[in-house]
Amino acid sequence: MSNKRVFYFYNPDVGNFHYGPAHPMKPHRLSVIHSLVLNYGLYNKMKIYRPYRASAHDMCRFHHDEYIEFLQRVTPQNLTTYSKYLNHFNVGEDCPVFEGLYDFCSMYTGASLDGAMKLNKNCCDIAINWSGGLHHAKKFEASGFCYVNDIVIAILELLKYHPRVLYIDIDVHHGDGVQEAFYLTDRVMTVSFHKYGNWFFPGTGDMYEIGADVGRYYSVNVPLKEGIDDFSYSQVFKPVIQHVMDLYQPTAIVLQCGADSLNGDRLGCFNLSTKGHGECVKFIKDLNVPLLTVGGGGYTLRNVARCWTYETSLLIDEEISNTIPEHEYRDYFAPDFLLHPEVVTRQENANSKQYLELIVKHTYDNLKMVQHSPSVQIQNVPGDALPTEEFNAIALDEVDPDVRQSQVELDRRVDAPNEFYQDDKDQDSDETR
Amino acid sequence: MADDQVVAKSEESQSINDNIDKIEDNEPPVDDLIKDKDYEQVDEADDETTMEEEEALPELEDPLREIRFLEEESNMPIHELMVMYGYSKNTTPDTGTKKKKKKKKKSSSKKSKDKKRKKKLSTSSDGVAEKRSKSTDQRTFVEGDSSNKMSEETSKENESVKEGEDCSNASQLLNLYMAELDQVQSEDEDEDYRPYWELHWKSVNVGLNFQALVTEELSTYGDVLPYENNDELLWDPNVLGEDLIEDYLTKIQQITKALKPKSKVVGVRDNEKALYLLVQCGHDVAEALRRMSLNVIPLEKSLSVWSEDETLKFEMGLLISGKNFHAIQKEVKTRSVAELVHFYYFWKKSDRHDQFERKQVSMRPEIKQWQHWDSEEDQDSDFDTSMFAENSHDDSEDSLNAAENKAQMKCLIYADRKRQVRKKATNNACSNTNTSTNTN
Repeated sequence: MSNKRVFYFYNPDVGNFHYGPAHPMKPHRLSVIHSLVLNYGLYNKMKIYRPYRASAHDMCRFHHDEYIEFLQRVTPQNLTTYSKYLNHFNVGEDCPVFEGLYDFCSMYTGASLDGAMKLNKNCCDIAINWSGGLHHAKKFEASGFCYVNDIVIAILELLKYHPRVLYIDIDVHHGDGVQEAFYLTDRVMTVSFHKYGNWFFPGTGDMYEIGADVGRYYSVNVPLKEGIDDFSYSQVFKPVIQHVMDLYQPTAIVLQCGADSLNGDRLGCFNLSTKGHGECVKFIKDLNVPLLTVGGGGYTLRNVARCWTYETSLLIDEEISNTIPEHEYRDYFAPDFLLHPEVVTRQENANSKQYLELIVKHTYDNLKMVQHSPSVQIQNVPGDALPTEEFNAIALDEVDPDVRQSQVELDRRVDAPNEFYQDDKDQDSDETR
Repeated sequence: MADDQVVAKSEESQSINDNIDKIEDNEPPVDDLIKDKDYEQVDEADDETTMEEEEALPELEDPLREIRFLEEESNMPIHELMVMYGYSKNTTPDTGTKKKKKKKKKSSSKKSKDKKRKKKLSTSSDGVAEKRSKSTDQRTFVEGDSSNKMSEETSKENESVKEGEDCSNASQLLNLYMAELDQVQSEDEDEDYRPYWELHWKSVNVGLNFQALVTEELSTYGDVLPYENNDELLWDPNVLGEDLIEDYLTKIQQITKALKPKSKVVGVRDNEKALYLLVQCGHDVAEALRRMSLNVIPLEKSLSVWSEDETLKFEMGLLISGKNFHAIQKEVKTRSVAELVHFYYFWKKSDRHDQFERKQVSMRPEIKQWQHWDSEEDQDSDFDTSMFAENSHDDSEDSLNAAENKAQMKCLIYADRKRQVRKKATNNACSNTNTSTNTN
């Protein structure tokens, strides 16, 4: 089968949350995207899952339990009783407390985690969760509209099966939460393309942030200036990623597709078109590595919906028409009702050709060090998987039938339920019949 | 391994000295070693002139003042510091002689003094030395000897000719990198000197409170799934053929049409609930159709029709509390917040919304301004970028602006153009009517 197995994770309730008056983050965009995906007929190329919901235990794999407990308990009603924690956990203006906050976190985190698990079990090649991608959240605090870092939790899950995971971030903001989480490890390489400078949020993402300790050279930052267009972007994106792939050779990729790098975003300042943005996604898809695709930023509802719908179609290799089909949110796409609207350049491209060339060279130079550094990954022999199987094989053959075995030993070699018995436990073997 | 170190480090306040480390480590690697030498050799000689200068200035006798000046110097942008310490973009470390550098240093420090006008720099030797020693002491293992390491490696690999090339490349990049930051600085040169890089550089936190715990070995799931709740397959396209599915959907449509003659039906579309039903019936088309005809599952559960009463209450709530759905829910008791949010996005594009707008403006004319922006939220093609630019640059109250910029870095929401435009508008109009808009 040439086509990839694509799983799509969507919780029908995840769109019905609201961050509060005048807040640019709108979870309802997820409902609009889903409706578009459905009405474009993209259903017939992928398996649809209602993902499981992440428990507090799952979230605590990365986050501190105090913080998660706070998220579980705080509501708009009891906000005052928690006032001393609000500052501590950076909950307030950027990350307001809204009705159903914890449910929202649990839904999007669960979806990413579910996707990671499906990839681990090799059920699929590509998992899509547009509700995830909240890359700013830190271990101890919320940040930039993000409360729980589903990406980190999903990557931790992937690391159970994958020796090296590559994280790519094409959000206009720096993927600081994910970078920080894996700053000291070489098992995850984080690559972020983002706007940097002029007090642009979150203020990190300098080209000299390269990781530390064992993780030195395993954080790659490509700071860009405002107004970057499709051509310039791909000129940076493709060579850098190709270089990373050649040197790091990840066994799984997590791609954060923040759509605030699109032209005309409410908070972003890049000039990418939906096609240019999708080009990056297609490039990653064609690398033929197990891929978890998550959403992220994106604050102009209709453009986010266009972008991620288009990218869904790219991931399943299905061409879709430029005309937005009839569906319940069609009015949001007025007046043109097109999937690829014209790019109106409001911001001049501040990235000179020379700058881009040099920044690519800079990342190349740092990546050279990856090659030279001793590869820890090679020592990563799969932990329990092989040994236990070996043990079972030996045990079955060499056990003395006259010696009584302890229950623990028996339990240890419980056969899989679909195992075909060929011994005295076999109730319907050919001989007995 | 270095847990203690890590904790200790994280507890360190992000003092200026930390930032100095950062700057110094950020410099092109080859320069670093030579720079060390430079400090020792050059500062002594150069110092005396500055000491004289210092003595000529009575206010410098105040030690507090001196510290302040030192701080200021430490707040200088990297390229200025580099220039001050004898590095211009064309300097290749091999060619620069001691004397040359000394000269450069003098002239550049003068230049920067001019720039800062009355706020003179103190380049006293003990100050620099002190700072230097402090910074080496406080070097953390994160940034620690990064540049040294790098320079070692590069020097191993590269020949001296290439080295120079690399260096110039790096400084070229640095210049381009800084170009934009420079602009910002030049704008408020005459105003209080603002150490912009202090805002620009934020170090990465390292410690137990920041990183995720990554295990070294791989593991397996075994029999027990690692999660507590289950996911649910809603649709699998690979079981039945495409025409079979199409056929099924057409039949479903006929059934729903019969059940609800009023609902307008548009072509054969994927009906997710019907498809889910098919999955639930184990992909048995006949069974799914049977269940559908019994109408076991209500097809439009999520959008059960809103009564006139409910809608009125919803609009009332919206009028009073704005888009605070939690507050609106108290008004419309029969619906959950999730339902309200869902309804809002349909209502927003309906005729009722337009009527509502008109009514609202007539009732509370003073909120017209922000309400306009609010309702246009997702149609922001018409916002005015020039207004934004004006707002962030031409603001006469520079300190206020600085604070805002600082906040912007801490706070993503500050980048919101509409928010800024709205704030300005409300500031201009009336001050106390917007309490409900900008705060929660």
